[in-house]
Amino acid sequence: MSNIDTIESELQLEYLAFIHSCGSLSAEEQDQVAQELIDLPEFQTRVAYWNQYITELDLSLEAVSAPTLVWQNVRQEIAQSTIISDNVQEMSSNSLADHLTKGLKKWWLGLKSVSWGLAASAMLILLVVFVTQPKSPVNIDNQWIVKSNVNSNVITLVAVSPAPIPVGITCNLWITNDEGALFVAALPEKGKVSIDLSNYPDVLEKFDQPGLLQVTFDPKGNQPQTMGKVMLETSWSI
Amino acid sequence: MNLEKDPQLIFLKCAAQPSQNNFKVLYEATQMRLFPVCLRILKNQELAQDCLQASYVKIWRNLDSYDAKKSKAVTWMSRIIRNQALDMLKRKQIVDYVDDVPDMADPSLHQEAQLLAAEQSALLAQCLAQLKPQAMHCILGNYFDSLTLQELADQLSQPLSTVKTWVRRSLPLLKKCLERSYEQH
Repeated sequence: MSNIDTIESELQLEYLAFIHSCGSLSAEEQDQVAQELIDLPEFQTRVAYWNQYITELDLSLEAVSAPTLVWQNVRQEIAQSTIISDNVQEMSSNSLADHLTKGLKKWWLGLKSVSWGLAASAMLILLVVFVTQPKSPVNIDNQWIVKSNVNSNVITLVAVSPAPIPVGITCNLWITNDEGALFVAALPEKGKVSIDLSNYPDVLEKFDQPGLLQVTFDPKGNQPQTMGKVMLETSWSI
Repeated sequence: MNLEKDPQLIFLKCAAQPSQNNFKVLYEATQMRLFPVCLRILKNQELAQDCLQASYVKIWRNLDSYDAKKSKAVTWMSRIIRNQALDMLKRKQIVDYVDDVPDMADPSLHQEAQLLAAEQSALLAQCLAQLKPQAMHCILGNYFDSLTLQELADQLSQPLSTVKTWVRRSLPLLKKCLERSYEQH
């Protein structure tokens, strides 16, 4: 292939990637893309490039507000899916509780050689975690649960984790309100932790208004600057 | 950082805690920027509303598939909106062209680029403005109005091959300009 041919084919690939990104391929071009290019990594890279930059054109259009009817219709539709989702979540919680109960039963039976008193005490501790905080917020993600209990300035979090936290991920506690988001502390991977905010005078000083306590999943490493995926959220006020 | 105004934070909060209230906040924070995309592509008020509605329902159902490493939330949402609008366009649901939609086919091209010079699109607009007017017209027509090059060629009374050459030659220039501009910022 000559240099000119190479340049021509580069230009053609760029052109098709751009037009594909715009969504305005002709029928003939659509066929060509579907048959020859769609799986080509070089083509995909170019499409991603144009998607990233040219989509900004969309966001540059003069703002126009949609009639309120649109939101009413959206709300109606998502309300139906919320009901379904809530049912699924309830089932998940129940399944998880069943799973833990079964686990405890197995553990109980497996501890025949251990003194009954010791086992009973240990189990009681575990059950207390579940029984005393039935109303606290629960978030489930891949069988990972965080429960919180906010009492005065002390935040108590319980991580009950049948599955470990994913490798390379850490769990962080943040406080957010209109002032912004403030990283408070990294949480242990498992077990119960209490954080007395009285030990964080700078936090209390900055956040003198009601806000939210949020627990996020973030990559392990230095203190995070921005919040990752929020796993738990509960209201908080001093 | 203001949680009430930053669409990215609003989106993340909504994705983490998908409730009707959180989604309403997200809708209110973003719809004004996304509705024009539907209007621009579909050129029909009623269809644009249907497009926006369907898109937000899709956004709601796919909240957990958003990847913050790949793009900003609004950009991700705008792709959903655009794809929805293009799907509707392809299904040939367009009936009328309503007067209240600005006519992007107006070849006052540099004026268009000036309009684009707002917010984060300023760099893109600057790069577009550096292209030859006919090439920019084709690129904008292609993107905003989803016109094929044949339709643009007919509109400009030029052979298809000429229009194609304009676009093909201008894309590397546009790309180079974008890369340079984004590096500088």
